[in-house]
Amino acid sequence: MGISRILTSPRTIITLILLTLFASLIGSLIPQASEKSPEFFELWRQKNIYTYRLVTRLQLHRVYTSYWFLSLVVMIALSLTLSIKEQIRRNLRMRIRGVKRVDGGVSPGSVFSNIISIIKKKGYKIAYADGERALFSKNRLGRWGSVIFHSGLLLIVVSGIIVLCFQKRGFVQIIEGETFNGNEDGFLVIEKGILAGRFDTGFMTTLRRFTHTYWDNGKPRFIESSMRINIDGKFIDKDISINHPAFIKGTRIYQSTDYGYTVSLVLRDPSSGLQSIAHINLDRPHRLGVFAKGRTDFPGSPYIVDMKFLPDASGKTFYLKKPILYLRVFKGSDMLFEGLVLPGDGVKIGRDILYFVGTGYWSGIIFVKNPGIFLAYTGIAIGIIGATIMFLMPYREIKVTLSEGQRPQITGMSTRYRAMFREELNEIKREAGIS
Amino acid sequence: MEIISLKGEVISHWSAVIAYVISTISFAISVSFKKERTLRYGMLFAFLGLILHSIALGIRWILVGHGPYMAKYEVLSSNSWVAVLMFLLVGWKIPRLRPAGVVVMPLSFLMMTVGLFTNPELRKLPPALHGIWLVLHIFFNKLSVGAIFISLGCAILFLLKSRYGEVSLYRKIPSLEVLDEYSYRFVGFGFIFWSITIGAGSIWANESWGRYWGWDPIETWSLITWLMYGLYLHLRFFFRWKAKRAAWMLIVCFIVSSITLFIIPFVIETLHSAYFM
Repeated sequence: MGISRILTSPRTIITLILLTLFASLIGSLIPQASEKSPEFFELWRQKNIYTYRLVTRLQLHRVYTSYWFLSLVVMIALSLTLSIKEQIRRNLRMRIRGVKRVDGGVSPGSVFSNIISIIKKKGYKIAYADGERALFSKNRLGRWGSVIFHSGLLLIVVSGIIVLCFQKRGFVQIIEGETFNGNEDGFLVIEKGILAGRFDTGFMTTLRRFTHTYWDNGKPRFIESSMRINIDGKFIDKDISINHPAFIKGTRIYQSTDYGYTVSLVLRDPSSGLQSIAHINLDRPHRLGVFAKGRTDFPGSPYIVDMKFLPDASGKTFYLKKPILYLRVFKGSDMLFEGLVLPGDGVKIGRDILYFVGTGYWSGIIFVKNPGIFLAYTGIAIGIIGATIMFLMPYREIKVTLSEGQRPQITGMSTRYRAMFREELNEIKREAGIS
Repeated sequence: MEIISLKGEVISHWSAVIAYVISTISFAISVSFKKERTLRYGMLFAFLGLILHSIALGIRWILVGHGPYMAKYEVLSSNSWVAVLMFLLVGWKIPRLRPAGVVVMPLSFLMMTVGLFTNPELRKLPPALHGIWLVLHIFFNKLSVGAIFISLGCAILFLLKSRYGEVSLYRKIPSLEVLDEYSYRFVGFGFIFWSITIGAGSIWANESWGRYWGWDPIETWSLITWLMYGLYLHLRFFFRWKAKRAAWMLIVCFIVSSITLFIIPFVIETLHSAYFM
């Protein structure tokens, strides 16, 4: 009982709002681990060890996954639950009094019936009336606005907790014609809730074709991946584009805005005949005529390849037409090769030969398992309905009493906008000629 | 043809700015010198400006093939259009609130003018900026801007009336108590519209990026603004914050919402600004 009273007290509610505000401000002003690279934090640590220690100890660099923020969210959920319970109890207690005996005993043409018709014109419904008293109400649903709004809010908060605990989200770059096996280890980037298990999608995904079109100014117009999904030997074809995800076995598959070119290189040792292949993904440059760049180790060799790539030598299109590759190969700090290569060309690097065997597209695909999403959507809908009822439909009551030899008394109550309601009452009195 | 249309857009846009400036001056004279007659000119020029502004926005819509929400210029101009439209509707339904134009008109004209000094190039829609949820997100965001401006207008009228008392023009505007409630009421509208903006935006984000909340700077600031208005509403409800205290609190809320609407998306790199910058 004590905790319940504390959690629903106005002071606690204001404090919780202020704390959430404060947390959001911190998250917005202090660089967050989810946005910055580990190098950024290492540099910070080297530059100012004291502030770095303070920030990391208080988990201010990862506010939204910190223990204190989680505790705050749980407190909000508890406070909301108890407040809703309290409001429901209060509303049920406040149920409109009296038995409905509409217009009973009111003689037509009397002062009383005149007042009744004025009030009715203002949208009030008669709840009770006899020859001496009448009770009117408007927006009876209005009393429940706050309960509905806060219930929606509670659902959103609970959904947030579920996401924080159980969401699984993985990003993968799939090359045209290649298959992603759906195992957690295959993701390039993975984000999981604190209680989430392994993220294996349970199906394989092959990128059959990647389509991209552009506006005249070179900005992307349409991006689509045509996928073939293999669920235990059963194949389903799906086209996934931005804003049009697919839903397979509880996993949503999204087209990312990240995509680019794949440069395929083969390294061959002529003496042994051994060869290894590397598919290197390069991000699409954001402007026409600009090189896609990349630098990486060539797997299984001591070489480092540094590439500048154009999908078309003319620089006038993003499509693969006449690709050219400006290649530099290093071994340690020694540069072994530098020059332009075309598809099919081979260049000698020490005793080995490096072939530029082909090009293609890769598409960024996001796989998401989010058990809280339905709850969040429901919460949003309920919350908005509640807020609308709460602010646009304030509950109002007007009581009219007629005592013998006295002027009729008009009194009332409103859950919101009381001064405006008072003006309305005065207007009714004026119209009825009793002001 | 495109050049002629562009010229038409520029001319009507600037003409609208001039009409808004005249309207602002009329409202300022009316409120400062307590002259009721100039209020009428303020309303008239606001209406004239709105017509010209609508023509400018209409031409642009046809030229770019999408609503006015891609470039900074379009966003600011359409926000200003909605604010003026909402103010005129309120002024028509509740004539006593017309002096609030002294706040709404300069803010709208300022927004529009800032937009005119940004790059007005015609931009095409990227793939993520499609769909009904985006339309709802943008539409309600603009409505919330209008509601916030009007609530601020009422709060400032409240402060003016409480300072100058019941002299000439101020006698015609609602009582202090009612003015206070009008600002509360418009905050209520703004709160609903802002909630829908966040809700529709979350659904759109989930459809586009696979997550409905990502603590992106603009999402965070949007939440901060929503919480600020929530705080205002709770303080009114629980602690009976009214009158001057509530009016000043509303001014603070307005400053926070201005940061969210006009600074964060244009200055900080966010998912929203990817196409605006």
